[in-house]
Amino acid sequence: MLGKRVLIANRGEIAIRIAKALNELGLVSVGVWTDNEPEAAHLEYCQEWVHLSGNTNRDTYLNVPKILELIKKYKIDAVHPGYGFLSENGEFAKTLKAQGVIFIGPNPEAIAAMGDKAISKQWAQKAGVPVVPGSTGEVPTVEEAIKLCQTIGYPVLLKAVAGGGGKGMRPCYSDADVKTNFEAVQREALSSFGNAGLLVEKYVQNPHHIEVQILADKKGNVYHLFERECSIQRRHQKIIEEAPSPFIGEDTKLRKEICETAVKLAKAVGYDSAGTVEFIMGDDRKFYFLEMNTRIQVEHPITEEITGIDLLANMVKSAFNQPLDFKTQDDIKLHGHAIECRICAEDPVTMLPAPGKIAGFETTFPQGIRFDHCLYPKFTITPDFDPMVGKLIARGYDRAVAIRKVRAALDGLLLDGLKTNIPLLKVILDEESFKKGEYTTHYIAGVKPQERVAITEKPESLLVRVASVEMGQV
Amino acid sequence: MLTNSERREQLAQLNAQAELGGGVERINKQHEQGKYSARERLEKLLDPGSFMEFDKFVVHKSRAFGIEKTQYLGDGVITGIGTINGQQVALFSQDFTCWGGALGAAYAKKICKVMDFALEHRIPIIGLNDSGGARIQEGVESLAGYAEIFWRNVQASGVIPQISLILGPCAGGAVYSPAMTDFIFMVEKTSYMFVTGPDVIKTVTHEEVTKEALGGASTHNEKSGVAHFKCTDEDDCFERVRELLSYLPSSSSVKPTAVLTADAANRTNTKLKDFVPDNSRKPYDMKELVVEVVDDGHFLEVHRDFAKNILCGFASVGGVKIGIIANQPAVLAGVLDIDSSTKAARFVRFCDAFNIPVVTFVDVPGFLPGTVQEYGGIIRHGAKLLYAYCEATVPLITVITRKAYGGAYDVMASKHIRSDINLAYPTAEIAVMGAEGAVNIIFRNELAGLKGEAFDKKKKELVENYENEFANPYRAAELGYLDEIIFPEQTRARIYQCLKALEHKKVRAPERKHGNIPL
Amino acid sequence: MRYYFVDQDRKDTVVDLNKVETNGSISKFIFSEKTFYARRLAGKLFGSWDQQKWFKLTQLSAGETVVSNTVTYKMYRGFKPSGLFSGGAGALVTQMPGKVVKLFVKAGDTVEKGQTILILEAMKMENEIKAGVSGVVKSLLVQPGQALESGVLMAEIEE
Repeated sequence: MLGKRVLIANRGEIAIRIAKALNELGLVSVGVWTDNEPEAAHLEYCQEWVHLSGNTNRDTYLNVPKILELIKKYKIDAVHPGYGFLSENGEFAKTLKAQGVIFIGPNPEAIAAMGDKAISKQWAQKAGVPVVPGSTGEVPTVEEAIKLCQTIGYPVLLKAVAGGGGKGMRPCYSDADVKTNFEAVQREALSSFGNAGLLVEKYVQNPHHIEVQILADKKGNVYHLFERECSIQRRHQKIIEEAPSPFIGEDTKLRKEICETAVKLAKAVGYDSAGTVEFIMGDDRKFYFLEMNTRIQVEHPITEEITGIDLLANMVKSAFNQPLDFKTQDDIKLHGHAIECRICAEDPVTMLPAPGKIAGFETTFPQGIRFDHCLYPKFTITPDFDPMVGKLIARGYDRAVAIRKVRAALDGLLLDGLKTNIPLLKVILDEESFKKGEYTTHYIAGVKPQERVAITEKPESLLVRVASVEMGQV
Repeated sequence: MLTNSERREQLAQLNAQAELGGGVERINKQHEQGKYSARERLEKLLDPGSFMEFDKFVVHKSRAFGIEKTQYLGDGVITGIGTINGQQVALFSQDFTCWGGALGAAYAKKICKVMDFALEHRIPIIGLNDSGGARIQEGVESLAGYAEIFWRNVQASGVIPQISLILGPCAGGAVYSPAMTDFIFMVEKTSYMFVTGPDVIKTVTHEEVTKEALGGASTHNEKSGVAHFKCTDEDDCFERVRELLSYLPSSSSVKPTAVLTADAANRTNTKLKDFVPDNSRKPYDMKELVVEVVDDGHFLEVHRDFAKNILCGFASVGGVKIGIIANQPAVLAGVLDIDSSTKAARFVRFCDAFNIPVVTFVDVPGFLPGTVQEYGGIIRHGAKLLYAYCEATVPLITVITRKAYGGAYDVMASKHIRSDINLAYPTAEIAVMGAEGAVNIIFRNELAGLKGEAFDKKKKELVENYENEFANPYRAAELGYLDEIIFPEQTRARIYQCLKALEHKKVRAPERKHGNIPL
Repeated sequence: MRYYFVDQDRKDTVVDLNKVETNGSISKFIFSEKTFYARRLAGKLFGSWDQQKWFKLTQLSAGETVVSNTVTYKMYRGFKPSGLFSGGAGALVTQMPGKVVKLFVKAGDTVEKGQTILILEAMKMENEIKAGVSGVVKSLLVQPGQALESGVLMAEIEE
């Protein structure tokens, strides 16, 4: 494995994270820069720098032929796709395999199996993994719908087959509700998505988004690294993640059950490398499989913090068929608690992206903080790329300590020149129900923490800016 | 023998005394009139803590009329150096609280010394004028003092930027120093300039006129064109001075620095797509076009209230500082006349002296006809602008947006007078004269016999033919008189491209003492 | 030294720095209502309101953008750059001889600054004469078809 050349087909903070793992394992980290990001900060950690021509993601990080060209030109032995971009592109994985280039991720068959929502659900059912009870396809009539609902048990959700983003769905608590809403949802579906097809699904109340980290080698050994809870979301994107789940809490039996279920599924599809099995859990503590992400995820650091295991390094080792850093499942132990806050360039109230240029960047963190980012003073965040500019992670003896540390870190994170969600994160971390660990995926919609964000800081903050400029004049 | 600490005390006391000028009472009187004291002005104008004073303890040595009994430390003027926006400048600030800021020999010597310093070290000189005039008691020495200053104004002219702020009275011979500087700032209600005041005028010509009407800020900004900037109060004045200096290099031996801007140099001017109206008789506001093209819409207009049919001002494109001249179709149809020609000529020559590229936007139907213009000498005044462009060796970029007729086409930085890049919009009309006039001359015979409806019909047909044939940029383009015909939305990007290409332009002027520009 | 903070709606917040005093490594900034202290330490910049409690500052330059939660400001030091000017008075006087083609208002009408009051045909152009200020049309002294000399008062607008 030593000396092998690995292309990082990604950018930003994950490219830095991957490069760190590659460098420490004695591999050659080859980083990429594009025409629309000539000052790519992630190159700082990469040993070799390679130009990928193009001005848009479609033309660069998503352009398979161009990347294949680079692989050939620079004699690349392996590719790490990071997250997003080509990380779950089964065709790309297959092509690389055919060309004898290692894809640092799961095998193409596993990607295919878990890539499609319907197919992955079938796999789950076959493996004996609980899935959200519901219709297997479209339900054509009210009568059939009611029959199904009686089998599943109320409450249920009438959902548009072609729907997404929370639209085209209505909860029903009785036969009468179904009768009333069926046609309405059909009409909504037709007008919003052009398809009037409906399906029926059990309505999980007060849902929690809980996911289990999987790591597997090429020899069929599948391990879990406990779970994460990512229920604080807006527009279905996570803002705050924790490990382990505060909802599961001290229930070691439930923890074991959900983690082993995830392992069962991963084994069933012959999974290797790192991946995450996502579940939805209601307040009745019953969990159902949602989907599997066959890639390394943004929030992987919190799992690393509570287990002490380097996921990226092990992902790479697994790809090169090297023994992992640990030997058995029992070697993986849970210590303490970790929280991650995603720092995004967006308005803290509207939560809409707000690209801009960093005028000033300073950090004063407490002990136990990890900040994964690609920031530097004068860095310009463009609409081309994701508004997430960094991840602030705190590890503590327990949840209360972790919250204390990450809250203090937010006070010590100075990012001037662009709008960020830091004021919003502070409000959430100070809020009672969050501090108690009592929240579901409805948190943002229900508690509306964005409405508690002050529109501006106190007027004195402008005087401070003036002083800073004057000091720079000398 | 004084001890060390007693000497320190002495210096501190003398400093305090000098800083009081004519005394607290007189300073208060200044405040009551809405004027700052001479020292306060320096504090407000300059970067905080950057002022270093020269000659604080200079006193006059005159013995006439017993004035040796009154001594002011500094003799009524504060001179020194400081920074504005980090740029080193030299200044003098006349102190009205000391004998009404009247100038005497020592006072003038102080000013001359700081002017010499500025010239030698190539930094701009700024004069804050607030003076009642010559110190009569010092007689001819005062006059000599003025003359020494005038001579230095001329030695420095075109070498270092010279800026005059009129913050109080400036009368009689004293006005000639600001008159020879590059830019004059005046403040409403408190500043005035004239050669002879209302009292003398009343006795000689029997005209009754107030100080404000005769030589106030509005008069000189709107009527005479003596002043370049009209400010609402002294604070506004200082801000505009800072803004002006941000566009100027320190001297003619250096080029202006770049502006830090987030405005993309290749930004498309989508707003200009349909900006020039279809109807060529319909005016539009050229300032809107300029503001759309330049960085962040920042355009510092010079002589804003004078000869409004032409715009002159400073801006930047892609961070490159430029001077802009633009005909203004919304005023007087954008014609060239005496005032606009002299206004633009002086601006072009200033930019040329200080290595500032000039971008010219053209929409000019010709020169203003009439006896007023002819008797007033439009011939020699119009020639000034032509001369200025011909003489200029800075990068010249011209954009013809619509009309460019007759001699005015030649004058407004045409290719033939060595403009570097000439661009035109599809809406450009470049011809000797407009259709109506041309048809009357060329087709005189055809139209001679016709009357009434037949006449109208034939004329309309001829005018249309002429317009299709000549009211466009293509005849000029065929001859290579235009480098490119661009779409209006490309304006900014093109100008930036040209500025970059012309960055290192170097032209040698013919060897001569100096030309003889018609005056 | 005046600082302008211009927000995304083009509204200004003005901060006046009256004086700066430097005593050794500490600089004292005297504003109209408060005093602030700043100094460098180990290559970083720190500020304080009481010279006792110090906190880290970001290092900014003039002309940069700063953000206060949801408001984005452009920061200008010493002057606010000139943009689109508005000049003009309430009296509308002809600048050149011309003919009144069309009137758009009558005496007593309320007008906005920049609103077209009448069209004057002059120099072969249809010149839109606009109100220089917002207010009420005090008097309208011309009629359509009327030929005017230069310097004639056409209308008066009272603010």
